[in-house]
Amino acid sequence: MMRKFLSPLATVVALALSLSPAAYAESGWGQLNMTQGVTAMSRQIYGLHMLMFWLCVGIAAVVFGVMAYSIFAFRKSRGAVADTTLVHSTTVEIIWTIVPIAILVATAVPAATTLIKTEDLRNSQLTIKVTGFQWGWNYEYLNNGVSYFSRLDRESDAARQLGSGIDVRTVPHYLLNVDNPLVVPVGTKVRMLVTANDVIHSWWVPAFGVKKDAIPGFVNEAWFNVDADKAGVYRGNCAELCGRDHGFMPIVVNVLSKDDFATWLKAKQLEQNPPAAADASAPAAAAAASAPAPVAK
Amino acid sequence: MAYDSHVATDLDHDGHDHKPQGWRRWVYATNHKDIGTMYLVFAGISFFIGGTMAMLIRLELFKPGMQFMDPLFFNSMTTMHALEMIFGAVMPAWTGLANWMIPMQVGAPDMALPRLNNFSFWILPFAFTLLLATLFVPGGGPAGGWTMYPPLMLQGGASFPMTIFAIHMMGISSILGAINVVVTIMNLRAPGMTLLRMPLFVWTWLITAYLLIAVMPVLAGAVTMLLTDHFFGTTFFTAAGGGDPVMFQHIFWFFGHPEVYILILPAFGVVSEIIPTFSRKPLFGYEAMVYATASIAFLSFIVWAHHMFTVGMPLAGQLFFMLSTMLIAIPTGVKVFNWTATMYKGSLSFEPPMLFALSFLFLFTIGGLSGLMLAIVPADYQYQDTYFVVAHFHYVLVPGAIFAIMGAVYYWLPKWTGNMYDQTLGKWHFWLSTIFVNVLFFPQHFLGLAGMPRRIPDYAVQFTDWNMVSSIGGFCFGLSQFLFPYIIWKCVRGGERVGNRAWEGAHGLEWELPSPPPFHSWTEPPSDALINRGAAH
Amino acid sequence: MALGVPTLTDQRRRGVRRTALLLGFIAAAFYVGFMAMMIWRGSR
Repeated sequence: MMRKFLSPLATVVALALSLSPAAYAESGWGQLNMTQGVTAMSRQIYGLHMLMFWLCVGIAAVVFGVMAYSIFAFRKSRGAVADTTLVHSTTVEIIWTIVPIAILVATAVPAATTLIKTEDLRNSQLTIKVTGFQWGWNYEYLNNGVSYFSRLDRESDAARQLGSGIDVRTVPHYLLNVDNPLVVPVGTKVRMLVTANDVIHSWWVPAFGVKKDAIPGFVNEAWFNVDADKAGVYRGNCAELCGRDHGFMPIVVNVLSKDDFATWLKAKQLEQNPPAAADASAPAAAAAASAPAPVAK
Repeated sequence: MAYDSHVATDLDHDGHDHKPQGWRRWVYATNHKDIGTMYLVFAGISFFIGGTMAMLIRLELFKPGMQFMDPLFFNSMTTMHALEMIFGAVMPAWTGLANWMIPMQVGAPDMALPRLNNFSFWILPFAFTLLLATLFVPGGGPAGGWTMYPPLMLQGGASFPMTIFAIHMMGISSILGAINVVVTIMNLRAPGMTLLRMPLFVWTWLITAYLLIAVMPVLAGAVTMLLTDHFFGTTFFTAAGGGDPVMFQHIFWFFGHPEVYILILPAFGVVSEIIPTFSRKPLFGYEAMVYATASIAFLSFIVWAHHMFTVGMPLAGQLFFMLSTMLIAIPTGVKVFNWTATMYKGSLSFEPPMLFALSFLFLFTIGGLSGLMLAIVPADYQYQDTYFVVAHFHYVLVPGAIFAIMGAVYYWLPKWTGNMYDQTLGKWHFWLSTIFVNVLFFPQHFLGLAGMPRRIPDYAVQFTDWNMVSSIGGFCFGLSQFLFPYIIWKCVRGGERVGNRAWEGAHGLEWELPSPPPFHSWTEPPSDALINRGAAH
Repeated sequence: MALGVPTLTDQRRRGVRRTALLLGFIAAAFYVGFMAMMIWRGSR
């Protein structure tokens, strides 16, 4: 449809086409708000976001209402005469200082409560170390001897090259697909230890409400616990500028049922540590040995 | 171009005789108006250079897939766009307006330190030549973002030291400019022009100047540490050597947050001048405005880490920075309410400066409200480094700072030239800018919330539609801006003559001088009567 | 008298000089102090 950026006319036509009802279903016009996500925490964050949003809408309605009223009611062209004595009023000034303070206190309480919960890393059931690098991720299942790399999938990578001639709309999950996704179970408190090898990255999965910077030499912690009925595939991106291919290091998390996860983990363990040579060249051990010892932060 | 003087003094006469002509007038300039003009012209040129970079960014982001440029070049465009707009367009524009207006507004003949003034301007062309030259060195321009976070920034090629020296030069220029402003305001006020009678533009600039003196050295220190990490084997920001990459972010944002207010406080001043004029009513709550400005400046020093909530700070730190950030909403709210109350029961008319000020009032408030949302740490985990943040800071900087600059130019241009500009074209400029700035930036809120990270040259296909809208808004906004230099050029060439008081409701000492004002603004201090008439707040 | 800039009274000239020197000193102290502090820190 629009392989080449031809002219402004083509642009307008393309825009009109994508407005048609058929295109609407899979288009992005409806993508207006934050995801509610699939964890209790992400829903809580969504709730906070909506609380702040409606609060801001309310404030804007009042303030813009008074502004709009003033603009329409006190026009010189309508013969308005300025009341030049109205330059000060201690009462209203106190009111419009106190009321915002009250609103802020009212919002700070739920915000702080939620924040404290995001920092509560106790009782995690599975620990995965994420290491960002230019440009991909390494996932290491601590205590399970499983470790692998996760990069942009080949199809997206081919399509994203300058002048590739591939219509990116034909690529499934363009730029949001990887070769080896992270796999986690539902209903399990997963602790992520986030670090990096080279520059700062940021591990972000919107559906989990988790974004944590991956800082070389330091280990950050984050956690999520996907609802028991929300098995599925969730996607995110690196969220901190990390060089040329920053835009091309997606994160894909495959959330399985607990049984499926156990099966997957067992298979992966066997694959990475064949019984015959279990102690020979475990990639996880090798990776751990070669990486500089991170300092706890 | 003859400057007619209404106060015939021997000094003024002297000024006429010795006004240098030709290129010497500009290169050897010591006159506050000439230097102010150079600053403004420089800012305008930077605005169009930085704008061109923005157009390239929007062009690449028009649809998914890489169409036009290498991702590294895209990154250098986002980096240089920010540096050009912040240090090249907005800051010099404010310094230019300060140069033009502060001596006139406080009843002084000129800036206190005219030769320093010349020096601080003439650093800038060299600094920006150096910065722009990085585009032509091996490895291309700086591509680590204007925030220059290590270790990424340390991977830069030949552009790296050039960028750092350019930033040093910009910083020195700003510090010298700020010293000049403070000295002028503290020492050259006319007798009777007490601090609490100063116009708000002077007040906000005084506070801005103090902020500049306080934080520009911090930026210089931060970039110097980057330099020594890269070339001299220090390890300030390398964990392997006992350093910490996050320390850079703390230092940078200790500069960076006050910098945000350096960009916006003079805008508050300008809006506080324009709204009373076109409401024909003194500013509501003058003293509250002064104190609110001072509070914002103070708070700006204790909120820096809200730019980096995801770096893994201790809980107590996150709570502190969340609460201190929310506090800023209070003095900012006071300002918005005061401006609204100024219009209430006024007698409003809608010339171009007022239109830009009103656009500022509405759209800056939107930016402020999204800022309040960003202060909430758990929600910020989702907003951080997405287009929601891009939308937020462009709302406060484009319809905030830049519309205020445009409003200021439309407000004082008749004073500077003695000619009224084409107000119809000015209104066209206003409407096109206001409509397209929203088409450009409002959809970016949606993109960010839907999960599009910032600083990416290509994106997943579900973000296509709003990116197209945003790009179309961007192109139209960019094209509309060509009206601005055209209107100014036309006005400088000629137009309907205006009197001293170019606007019916204008108050302040600058409106007591002829239009255009004499080469040396107040060679004799204004009388108490004039000061009283000006300080009608 | 540079390029015909009007004369200031002596009192004001002193004020200008005093404020300018004070601010210049503060800015220079910040600038140099920050660098010195960091060279000291970096050389350990």
